[in-house]
Amino acid sequence: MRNVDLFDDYLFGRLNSEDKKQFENRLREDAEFKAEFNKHKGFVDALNYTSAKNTLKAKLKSIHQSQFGSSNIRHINENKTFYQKYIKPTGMAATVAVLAVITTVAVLSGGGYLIKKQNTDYTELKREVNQIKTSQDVITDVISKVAQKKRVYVPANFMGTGFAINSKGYCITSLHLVRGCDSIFIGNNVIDRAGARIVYTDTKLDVAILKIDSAFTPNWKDLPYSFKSSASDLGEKIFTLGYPAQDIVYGEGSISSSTKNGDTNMFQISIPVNPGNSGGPLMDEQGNIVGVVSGKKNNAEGTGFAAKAQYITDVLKNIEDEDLKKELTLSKRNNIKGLKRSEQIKKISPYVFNVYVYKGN
Amino acid sequence: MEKIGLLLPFTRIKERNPGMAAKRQFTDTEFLEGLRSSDDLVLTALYKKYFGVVLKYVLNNSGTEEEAQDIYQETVIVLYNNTQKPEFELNCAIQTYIYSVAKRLWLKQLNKNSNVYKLPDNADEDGTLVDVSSEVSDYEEKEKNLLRMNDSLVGLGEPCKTLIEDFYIKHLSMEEISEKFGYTNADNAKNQKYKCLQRLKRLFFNEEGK
Repeated sequence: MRNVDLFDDYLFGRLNSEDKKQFENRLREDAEFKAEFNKHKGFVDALNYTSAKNTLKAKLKSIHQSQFGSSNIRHINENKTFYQKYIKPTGMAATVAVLAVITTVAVLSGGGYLIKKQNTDYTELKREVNQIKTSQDVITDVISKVAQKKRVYVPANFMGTGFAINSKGYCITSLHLVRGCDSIFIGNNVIDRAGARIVYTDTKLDVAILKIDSAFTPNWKDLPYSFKSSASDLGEKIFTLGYPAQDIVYGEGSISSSTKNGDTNMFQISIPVNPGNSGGPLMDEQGNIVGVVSGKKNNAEGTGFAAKAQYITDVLKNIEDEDLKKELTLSKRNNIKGLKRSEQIKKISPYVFNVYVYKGN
Repeated sequence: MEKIGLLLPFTRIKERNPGMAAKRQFTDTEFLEGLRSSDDLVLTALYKKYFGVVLKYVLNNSGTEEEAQDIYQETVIVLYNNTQKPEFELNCAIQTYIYSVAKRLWLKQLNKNSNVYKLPDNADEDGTLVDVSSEVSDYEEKEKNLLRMNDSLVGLGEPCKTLIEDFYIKHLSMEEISEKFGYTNADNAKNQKYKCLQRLKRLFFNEEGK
């Protein structure tokens, strides 16, 4: 038996009492053996400290975000001061509440025709999680998974989709999904579960960029897809991947209008999208990202809307903070161009995630 | 779908409701007891209560809000790690302790980052400092190891990194590891673990010399 294996068995209390006695005797008598053991133990301690510290730090960051908001959210024309963020949170909350009331009133009254039209015509595609149903699922999950020692998580309040934008651990999703949240986690069958925080948002395009907690960031090499920075044409064939359900779902169609009721930031797509599809990638036949799925038309099935990748590229290029801009450089290489669709999906899906959003009551 | 759990960030949904943590008032003893038992609700309340103190100090001493956040989080970690030691006893108010640790960490960072800054050590003015030098140097020692370990783990790559973590952090058995990574048997997994460990140790200890 190698010494290292023996050390580990001793450290984890896996030796029987006789072997343990023998081991401790040897530690006393054999100085070289003892030195080797101490070195190993110091190493294992450092490993444990590292893991515990990284976990705790991530937890504190998430607490900070939930208690004080994300200090890294940068709005395009808005630089929040320290005062606004920490001293006047109640005032801001009140403003939001007042705005919400005004909007509701406007929607309900006959006068607010424009607002009413937009709000009733259009559904944002975040998936509000049916608490009872999910808890039932969790219970059955717990029962069936106890034997397999699988993790079961507290059900999220909202769920949607997100996908990686570069290999540095950044991903994009819909702003309406994550706005005002306490904490965000992402996961798929590669990452399982990782914390994420908002680093950038754009209201007009309804997109938010998240940084995946570096403690969980997988070693991504180059992404398989790239972002298309030029305009896409009407009629172009497109497809999307998303998590309207537990597992990833594929949908295909084409670009059916170059605006969303005149809003040039988005185009209309003829793909049946559902709650949970929000934040999913919209790709052309070559596997270039052409948009981010955002919502659907209420009274027409099979009609969705997506923010144009062209504008997302523009907005990110114009970030004033040079450091952030550099971090958010979009993936430029596409190595799935000539592949069959099923092969493309296989390459893309590790970079598409379920986004779990928690909001306090 | 194969899902392997990494970390459960919050134990119960009740505990991660920020409203609850905000409403409840804790005494110092309750805070320490809660930290000792790793209660997320208490951790959140504590975090919320003392951030202002550290933020103010760092901002007043040529730091940014982001730096304050980082220093504060490290401070809370020092306190938390201490509460995990059975012999730990706090003989001052938590606020004094947090302020003292944060100040020391921040001054060290200022001195490290620049030769220009040399703050006069006069913050004893209000008599609210306690001696935390041994705790902070203990923390710094561990931090040095941590940085090297993080680098080594990145250098190690997959699947070794996960395998090592599964064994040493999550204490999975060789049988479980063997099944998870698709090795033919536990002995094979053990050999793999040995190879990964040797590689990680080489990365970790080699860099020590530099």
